[in-house]
Amino acid sequence: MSGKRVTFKNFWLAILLILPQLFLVFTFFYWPAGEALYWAFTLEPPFGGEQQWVGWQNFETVFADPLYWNSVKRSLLFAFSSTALAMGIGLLLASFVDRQLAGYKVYRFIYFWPYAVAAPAVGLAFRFIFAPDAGFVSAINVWFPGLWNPALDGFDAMVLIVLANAWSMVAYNFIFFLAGLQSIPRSLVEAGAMDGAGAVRRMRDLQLPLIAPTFFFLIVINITDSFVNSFGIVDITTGGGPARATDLMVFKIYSDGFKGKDYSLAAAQSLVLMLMVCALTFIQFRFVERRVHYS
Amino acid sequence: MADILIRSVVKSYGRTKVVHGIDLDILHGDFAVILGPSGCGKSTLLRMIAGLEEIDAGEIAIAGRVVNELEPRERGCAMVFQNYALYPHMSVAENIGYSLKIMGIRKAERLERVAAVARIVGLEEFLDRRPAQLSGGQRQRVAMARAMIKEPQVFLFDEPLSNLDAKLRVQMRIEIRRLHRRLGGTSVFVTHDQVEAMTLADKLVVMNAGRIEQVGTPKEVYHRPASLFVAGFIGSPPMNIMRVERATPGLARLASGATLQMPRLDTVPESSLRLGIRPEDIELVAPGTPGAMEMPVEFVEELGAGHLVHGEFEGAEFVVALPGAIEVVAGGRLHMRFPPEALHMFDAVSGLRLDGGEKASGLSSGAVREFA
Amino acid sequence: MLPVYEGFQRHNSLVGGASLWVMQGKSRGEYQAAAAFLDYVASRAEVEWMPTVTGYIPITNAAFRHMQETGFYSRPGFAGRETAITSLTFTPPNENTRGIRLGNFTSIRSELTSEMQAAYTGQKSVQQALDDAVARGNQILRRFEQTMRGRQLP
Repeated sequence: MSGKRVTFKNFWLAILLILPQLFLVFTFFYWPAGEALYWAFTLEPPFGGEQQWVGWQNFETVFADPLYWNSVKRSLLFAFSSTALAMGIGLLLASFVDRQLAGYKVYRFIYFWPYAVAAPAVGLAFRFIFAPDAGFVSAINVWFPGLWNPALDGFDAMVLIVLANAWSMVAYNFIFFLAGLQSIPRSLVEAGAMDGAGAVRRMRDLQLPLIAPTFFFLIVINITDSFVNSFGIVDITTGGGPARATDLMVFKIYSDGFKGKDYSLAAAQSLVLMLMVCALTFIQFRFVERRVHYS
Repeated sequence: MADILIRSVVKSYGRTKVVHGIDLDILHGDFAVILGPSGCGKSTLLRMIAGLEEIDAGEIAIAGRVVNELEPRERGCAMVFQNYALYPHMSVAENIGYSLKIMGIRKAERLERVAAVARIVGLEEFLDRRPAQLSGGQRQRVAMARAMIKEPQVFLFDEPLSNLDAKLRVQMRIEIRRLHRRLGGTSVFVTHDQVEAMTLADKLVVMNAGRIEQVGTPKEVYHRPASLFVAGFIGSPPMNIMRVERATPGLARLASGATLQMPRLDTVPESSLRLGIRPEDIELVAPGTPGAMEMPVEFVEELGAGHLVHGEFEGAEFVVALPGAIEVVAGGRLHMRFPPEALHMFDAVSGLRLDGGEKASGLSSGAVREFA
Repeated sequence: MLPVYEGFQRHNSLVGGASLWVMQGKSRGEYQAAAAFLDYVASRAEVEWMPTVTGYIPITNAAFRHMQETGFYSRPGFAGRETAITSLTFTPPNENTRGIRLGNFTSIRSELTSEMQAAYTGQKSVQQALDDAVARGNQILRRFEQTMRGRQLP
């Protein structure tokens, strides 16, 4: 916070230097967002032409639709379960590597890889692995016939996309948790061991409170990511089904807008999602800001 | 009885062996200090006793139980860390009482015991503070209190005083010693500071390069160093070392050709050896005295109670400690005599002490003078 | 062809799949280009190529007849494909069996899919699912009607 601020003497040079970045941000964020804002208050013919101003009608339609609330509910369920899973596993792996269990150098290196895999690729891999008839997991159906079928069972489908999303987020969480754990002086954890605390107790009483800022940061990132970046996985694995069991908000926006060609309805939903993510981030950062930092 | 018995203990990190088979007995009630330069394996040894490092080979037993496979919490040891290792998010009271909380002791009893221990180390008024709000000395006390509260049989100290300023260090030294007497357990204290080691130890263990060089009382180690390493490491300034050849019986020839009367020389077989003499054991004689050694004075370090005269003798740096009453100036010459009973003999190759003979007493009578 | 229940009359099956549209309001040159493209797509060689490399039916009667004459449907690997045409042309299409053209048809179709999934997975009765699909479809049509207000559709 008290670091020296680098200032440019030449104001116009500074403007010139940030212009390319501003141009990108404008082209790919502000412009589409502005367009969506306009569409949300109009009825937009799918193949162009005169739009009509309809005020709040699109929002009223969205909020009056029980299927929209279904997708909100599914999104929340998805976000919270995949966040909990991804953070739990990330923390577990990070604590293994932090304790330098055998082979930790290799794990430290390879655990990060899943994060580099694009969501549709993750979806495709999970679709094959978890295919009920031919996938790796189909063995379950040999032992317990009909137990696993994400094409028919909404719960299985939700489990599938939660697993896929958590898998791709574990790597990110792992790296941050590991950095957090390694910033805690080793002797502090050792003092805990001398005081009689086992590994789990030390994690709960000493390490977790000390990496609380990292922890809350990751909650924000994970939940936001689950809301926004889940499209690729849903599209490839379940397509929102069966019977809308995995119809997440972001997927519904896509199917209403680009498949159903109802841009206005999709734009209204995008705005709601955007405000939701903003609010979530705001609340969580306020919470994080208030956390005591120890040095 | 909390004896700590260490048998052929080995530790390696990858291919680097840092502890080469150590045997050591620390008996109940001992205050043992492990002294050595940094990287000699002394902290590693302590951490193996504590259970914070695995023992690669050999055995450690505490109170009659082999502890190799036991978790730290099962060994009955408490430890004070170099950087105190206090829990920054807990108050002083929570820090001290954490081990009791883990043992599942009720809050009322916990607070009572915390208060009692805090009283001993003088922290009653700071129980609600966070470690960040304490001074170095106070943090040190919290660390001590945290170790004491479990009433352990074994206290381990890992250079606990090195982060304190000189004055506080002396004070804490006395307090640690007092505490040891009061609690009556076994203490193992690791340090690289020889003054700390000499003043605290009942049993002084000098380590070098993963091996024990010598075990003894501080007096024994000072007066009869077992090796050239110990001779050079203990004592400030360190012992002067000279190369000599055995000449005619009872005579040692120095590199320059000068000779020293030394009857004890005949008891050892080696012909090439090292002689050592402590700076404070050297006597001054009148110029022209037969057998007197002469050294040009390069400079003089004034210490108040005395001074250290530096010069070059027999092609090596040489230091003589003199009482303050004697006037010496740089550029002058010193005429010295080496009392034969004050000379230490070492094997030139192995560096081990050669004579089993007693070193004459009455020389500085074992009091270690702190030149610092 | 799939069997039908006894006492039910078999009708032609519904046509589906991709379609090409030429939108209004373009220049003469653009329409000429579009016409040339449609001619190309409907040429016999093109129409015959598509069923040969995919499972689609030929889209002109001329091409179908030609393929029959040249023995396409009796060649191993292609035999039986004429069943699709038999099914599609079983009866002359009536009001309920001809191809569907609806506003926001893809939305309606996806609602229908979801409701049918709900029926197949036992979450709803078939009647309930179909009723819901109708209700959802009507809502979508109302929005389409409002969006296209004042426009004459060809």
